[in-house]
Amino acid sequence: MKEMPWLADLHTYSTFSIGKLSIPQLVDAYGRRGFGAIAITDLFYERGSLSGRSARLLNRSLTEATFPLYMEILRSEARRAWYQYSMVVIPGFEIARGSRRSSVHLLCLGGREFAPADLSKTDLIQSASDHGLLAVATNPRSFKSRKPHGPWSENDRAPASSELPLIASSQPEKRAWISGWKTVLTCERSEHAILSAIRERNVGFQDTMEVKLDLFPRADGGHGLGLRHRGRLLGDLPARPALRLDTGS
Amino acid sequence: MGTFRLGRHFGSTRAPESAVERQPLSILKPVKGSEPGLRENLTTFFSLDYPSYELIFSLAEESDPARPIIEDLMREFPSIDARLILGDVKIGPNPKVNNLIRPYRQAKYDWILISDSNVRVERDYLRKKTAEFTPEVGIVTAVVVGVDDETFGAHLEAAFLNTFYARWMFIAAAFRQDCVVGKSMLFRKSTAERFGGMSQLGRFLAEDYMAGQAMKLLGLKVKIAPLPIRQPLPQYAFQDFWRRHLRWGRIRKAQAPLPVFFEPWISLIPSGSLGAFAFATVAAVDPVWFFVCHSLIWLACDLSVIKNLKKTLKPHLIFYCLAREVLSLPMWIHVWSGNSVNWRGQKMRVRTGGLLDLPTHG
Repeated sequence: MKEMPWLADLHTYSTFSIGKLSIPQLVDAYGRRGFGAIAITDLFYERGSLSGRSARLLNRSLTEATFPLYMEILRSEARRAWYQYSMVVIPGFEIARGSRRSSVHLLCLGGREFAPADLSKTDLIQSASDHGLLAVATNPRSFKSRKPHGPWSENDRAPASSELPLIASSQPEKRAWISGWKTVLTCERSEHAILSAIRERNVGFQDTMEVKLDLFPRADGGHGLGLRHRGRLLGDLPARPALRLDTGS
Repeated sequence: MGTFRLGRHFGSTRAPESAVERQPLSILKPVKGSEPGLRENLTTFFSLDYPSYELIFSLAEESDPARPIIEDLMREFPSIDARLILGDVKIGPNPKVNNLIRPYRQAKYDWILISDSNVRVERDYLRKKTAEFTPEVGIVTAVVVGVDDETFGAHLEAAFLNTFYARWMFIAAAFRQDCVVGKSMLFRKSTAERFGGMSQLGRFLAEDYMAGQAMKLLGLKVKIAPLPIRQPLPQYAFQDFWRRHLRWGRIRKAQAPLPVFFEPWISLIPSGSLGAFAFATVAAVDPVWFFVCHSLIWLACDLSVIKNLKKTLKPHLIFYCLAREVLSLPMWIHVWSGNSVNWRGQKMRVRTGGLLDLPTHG
C-alpha cells in the first residue's frame, strides 16, 4: 500500500560546511514542518584546488578530521529525528571539485565512509558506487523553468553521467531554504526505500512556494500532516518519474 | 577588545542562574608523573564546597610516581568519594585521552568535569562553574592563570598565559571562535555521546579545542567560567617555555591556521610599527611618539588583564610583558616552520585539522 505523499529535502547543508543551521537545528526545522525525510549532505572539497584549500581553511568543508564527528552526530540525530518526528535522516555528503573551467558536484546519499574528493570524475562515480552510495546529480539550476541540467556544471557536461538520478535541490544554505523545490515521495519512510525510489526515478517534485503544509483528516479519525496545493489536498498525488537528464548531446 | 571583555567578565558579579547547579558530578583527573606541587594541587579538589561529587584519578602506568600521593590523599579525606583507576586504553595517539577513557566510562554521574592535575581551584569553584550552565550551553571552560613563577622561563610562561592567551580567549569568543582549555572542561556525558564521546577526540592533539568545536556543531555554546583556575608554574628553563609554546602554536596553526597567520599583526611591535608608518604617512604624526604611546597603552592593557586575573601587580611584570612581545615574532616564525611537536618526550606530527600521526621516536 502506498503512503500519502510526503516531502523530503535530500540536499541540505549544516554548519559542518556552508549551512546556517547545525545538524540538530536542521532536524528540528524540518521535523516541525512535517517533512518525512532529509538528507544532510555537507560539502567535501578536494584538497588540490584553490577553492578547495580556501573552503577547508575557512571551515566551509568537511575534512578527514571532521568526517567521523559528522557521521557520529548524524547517527545520533537520525535516532532522535525518528523518535521525535518520524522523520528519516539520510547521511550523505557532496563531493565538490571546482575550478572555473571544470566543476564537479556529486551528491553521495547513504554515505557513511570517507570518500576522498581528489579523484577524477569517472573515479568519483566508481568510488561512490564501490562504497554503496547513491550518486545524485546536484544543483539543477533552472529547475523552476523545467529545464533540468545535467549532473555536471554547464561548463563540463559528461554524457556518461546522464544515467544518474535527479532530486530537487533547495539551496538550504540560504535563509529561504524551506520554500524551494522539494522531492515528493510516496514510498515507505526508510532510508532503503527512499534510496530505491530515487534509483528507480519514482519521485516527484514540488515547489513548496506553492504548497502549504496542512493537517488533513485521517481514516483512523486522527489528523496527519499533508500537502495542500492551491487549496487542494495532494493526498492522491501519483509519484511521477524523475525528470530526464539533459545530457547536452 | 580582549582587555575590555575580560575585565567585564571577571569584574561582574552574577547570581547563579542555572538549574544545573548542585547536580552531582564526576571530576576526572588524568595524572602523569609527580610534578612539583601535585599534592597541593590535588588537595584543593578534596575540599570543594559542593554537595555531591566524585573524584576519579587515572594513571596510565601502575608504577607512576604520583600513585602514592593520590592514595595518601584518598586516605586523608575518607569522606570524599574518590577512586584511582590504573591503566589506560589505547584508542588513539593522544595519551591524555587514552588515560581518560576508563574514568569517563566509569563515571557515575552525567555531569563530567575534566580537570588537569597541575591546576588549583578555589573552594567555591564548582558552584560558580556549574552556575554557568544553561540549556543552550554545551561546555564550560576556564581561563588559566600562571602563578608561583620563580624562574626566567616561568616568568615568561606567566606573561604569555596571563596576557596573550587570556586575552585571546575573549577575542576569539567575540568572533564565535571559542577556545576551550582542557585543564577545565565541564560538560554533560549524554551530550558528548551525541558526537561519539571521549573516544572521538583521541585522534586529535588538541582534544579540548575539538570538544568545543563538537559542542558548537551540535548547536551549543561554549562558556568561560567566572573564576580563573590557577596553574603553579614549575621551575621552567627557557627551553621548556619555548618548547611548550611551540607545541601550542603548532596545535593552533593546525586547528585554525587563518587566525594564527594574522597573530603577529595584533602584537605590540608589528602593529605599532605599522600604525606608526601609517600615521606618519597620512597624518604626519611623529612615528617615534606614536610607537611610544602605542606601547604604553598596550602595556596598560596587559597590566589590566593581569590585575583582573591575579588581583596583584609587580614591577617586574613590565619587563616580562615586553620580553613576550619581543619573542612573539620569532616564536611565530618557528611555529610556521614545521608541523611536529614534542609532548612528554614523544615526537608527533600534527596534520591539518589537528589530527595526530602516531608518535615517531627520535
